[in-house]
Amino acid sequence: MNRRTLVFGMGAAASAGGLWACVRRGDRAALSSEQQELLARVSDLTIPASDTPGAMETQTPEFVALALAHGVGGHEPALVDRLAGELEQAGGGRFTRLDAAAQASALQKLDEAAFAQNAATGEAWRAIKSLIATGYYTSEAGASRELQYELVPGRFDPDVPLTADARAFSSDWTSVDFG
Amino acid sequence: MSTDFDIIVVGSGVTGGWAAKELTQKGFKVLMIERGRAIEHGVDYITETSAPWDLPFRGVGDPELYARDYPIQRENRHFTEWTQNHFVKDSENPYTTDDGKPFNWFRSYQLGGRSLVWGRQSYRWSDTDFAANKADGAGADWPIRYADLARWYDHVEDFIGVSGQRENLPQLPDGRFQPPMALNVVERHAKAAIERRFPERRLTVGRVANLTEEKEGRSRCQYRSICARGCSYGAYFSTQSSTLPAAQATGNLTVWTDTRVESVDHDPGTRRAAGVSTLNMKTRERKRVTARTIFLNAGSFNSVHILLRSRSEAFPNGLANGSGVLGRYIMDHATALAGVGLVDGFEDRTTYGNRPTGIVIPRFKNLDNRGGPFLRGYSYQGGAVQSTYNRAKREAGIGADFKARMRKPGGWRMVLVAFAESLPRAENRLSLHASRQDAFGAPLLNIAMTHGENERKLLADAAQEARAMLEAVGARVVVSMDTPNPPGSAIHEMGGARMGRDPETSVLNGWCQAHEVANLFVTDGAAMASSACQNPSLTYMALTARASDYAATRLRDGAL
Ligand SMILES: Cc1cc2nc3c(=O)[nH]c(=O)nc-3n(C[C@H](O)[C@H](O)[C@H](O)COP(=O)(O)OP(=O)(O)OC[C@H]3O[C@@H](n4cnc5c(N)ncnc54)[C@H](O)[C@@H]3O)c2cc1C
Ligand code: SF4
Repeated sequence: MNRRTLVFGMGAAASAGGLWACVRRGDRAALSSEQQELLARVSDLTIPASDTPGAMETQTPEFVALALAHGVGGHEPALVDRLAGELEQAGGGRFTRLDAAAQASALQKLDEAAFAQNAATGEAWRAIKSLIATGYYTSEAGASRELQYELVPGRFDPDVPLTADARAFSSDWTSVDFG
Repeated sequence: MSTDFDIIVVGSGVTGGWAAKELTQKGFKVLMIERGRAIEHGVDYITETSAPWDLPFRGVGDPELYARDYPIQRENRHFTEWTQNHFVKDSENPYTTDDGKPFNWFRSYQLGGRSLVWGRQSYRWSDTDFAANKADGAGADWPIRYADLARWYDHVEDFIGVSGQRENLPQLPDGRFQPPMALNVVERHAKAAIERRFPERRLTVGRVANLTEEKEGRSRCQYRSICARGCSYGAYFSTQSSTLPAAQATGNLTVWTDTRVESVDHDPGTRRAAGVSTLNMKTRERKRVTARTIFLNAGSFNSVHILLRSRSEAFPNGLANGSGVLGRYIMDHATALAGVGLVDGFEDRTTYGNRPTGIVIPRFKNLDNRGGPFLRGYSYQGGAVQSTYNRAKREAGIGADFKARMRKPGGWRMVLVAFAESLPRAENRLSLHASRQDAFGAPLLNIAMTHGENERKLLADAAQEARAMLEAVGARVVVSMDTPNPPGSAIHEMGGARMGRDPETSVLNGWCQAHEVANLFVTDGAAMASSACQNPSLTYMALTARASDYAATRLRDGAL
């Protein structure tokens, strides 16, 4: 599937939810159901639900699909198939056919290799993982329940002890840019 | 002769707002003409309170849209899904560059101009700067010195509100500051370490036009650091928060938005500017409007563009261009990410709130302008930043442990960006493109600029000194660059109608008044004869206030 058709197929569906709906209806713009499943599984494995919602409840796979369709970060929808290849290499089988435990260990293995120094593999995974992170931590629950979101701090405290249960601020815009 | 207005001010940005305020407060009927749309303070800051999840692309923006309409503007780190409506569409506002000489021209065509999106860093220049051209000969001598501007800096700072720390440095004069914002814990450590190792250097918090104390009709800053979306607290200086309401309160101001000034009309009989020709960007109606005096404040390059387009028999190469200097000697600071260092030992510390400024390390080399391996100097801006979720993109890990780890703030890094002085060189110039035109038939502006040998030497030295300072701080340097970003990237483009003592080699005199057209003033960055290495807008404002005062006196005396 080429990125152009995906984008044009989207029409007015500019929001992540809208894209996924269009994907579900099986428009020509759609990711195949296997590609959807792959994105969903790796998102869920990366950021599972805990005491706060995880990637699935926050429609993170949908954001990743939207971001790929529009080329966020210069990435392309073709990355989904390339990720499938990387996972197959890591897991010794077609990822979507593996059982849950085997999927987890395949992704774990790929992730370790992809973030090792002078990594020889994992380009697609590094790209998609970065989109998962963006999607999750900019979602309402990711930004304001998992992390803290404060639009109007009202003051600046330059030196605060970091407690064991501290949560970072998703609204620390300088850090979002440079951190 | 009766005219439609006393004074026409072209542009409503940082300097146009100032000209309008000063001149209306002195009792003149002023018409301010702005090519862009109207933006009403507060009401029209439509993304001010949007959360990332409210935006289709979560703040990152739509690359498809950006590639089509904003291929240049997207290169600016202040350009986001929240602020994209405050920048021009490149697709609708073309300009040309010479082959192999990219220029990033970051622009805002709207009421308020770039005052809505600027970084608000506000620094005085000193005689290290105003005397440099004369001292080393790389430029025509400035007709003014610090003493000419000092009281106008006072005047501007008193009105806009600048927070900062007094440092008593001759090369970066103190201003009339509101209380400074605080250095964060890592910056305090860096300050102590750098000043211990290098006693002649200083690290201070950025001097910034954000209020730390309330001011008439404007609240103090709430430490959000989302200023470029527009701030309904009015806590940073913009035309809308500050100069425009002051000018409107006089009852002497008329504002035309969506109206582009095409040229300044010259009357060869009187050798004066008669008025301006305008184009309504919506209706395409063309009109002439007259005034006794014209102030050009369209933003350096656009003011020059207007003059280049104002051709007549008397001035075939552009208005006030008998010298042939119009368009030449453009500058923009050469910038590079001189150093990024990871700072350990502060894992148990954090901050609360978002300070809308960083730190600055003022120029410390060649302060007497005697030269050496290079002419002029450089300074740094930056700060200490603590990482948050972005590191999830760089670190190994998946699953519950990974999620738990990313919940906390991460490590600290210290960032130093070098701003090097850009020398005025004749070959760096603006001109009208020989054949290409915009949608309205106007010749496009061609920008031809490169950074030179001296800028490269400055940045190389700045990178080396940045590493030395980061090492003094105990940081592990992970990035250190000395290749200049493309010209324009500092967004301090200036020059093109420089002021000078000699009409043969300059366009304006020391009052920002055209040598050859007495009732024409250009009081934005086009007037600059050198670039120094600090952010220039405070100086543009001081020059504008001073020129307004001068013009007012001359008008009253009947001399204009
Ligand atoms: C993201 C960003 C950060 C910045 N940070 C800083 C900083 O920290 N410190 C600093 O000193 N400077 C900073 N600058 C630069 C600063 O914004 C400019 O120096 C300043 O705005 C210049 O003021 P001006 O009035 O000359 O031009 P502008 O503010 O650009 O205003 C010019 C106005 O004229 C209008 N205009 C142009 N042509 C015409 C025409 N033909 N007819 C009618 N109207 C016209 C434009 O639409 C615009 O509204 C920054 C700029 C940007 C974009
Ligand atoms: S940081 Fe201050 S000035 Fe900037 S938007 Fe927030 S309140 Fe306004």
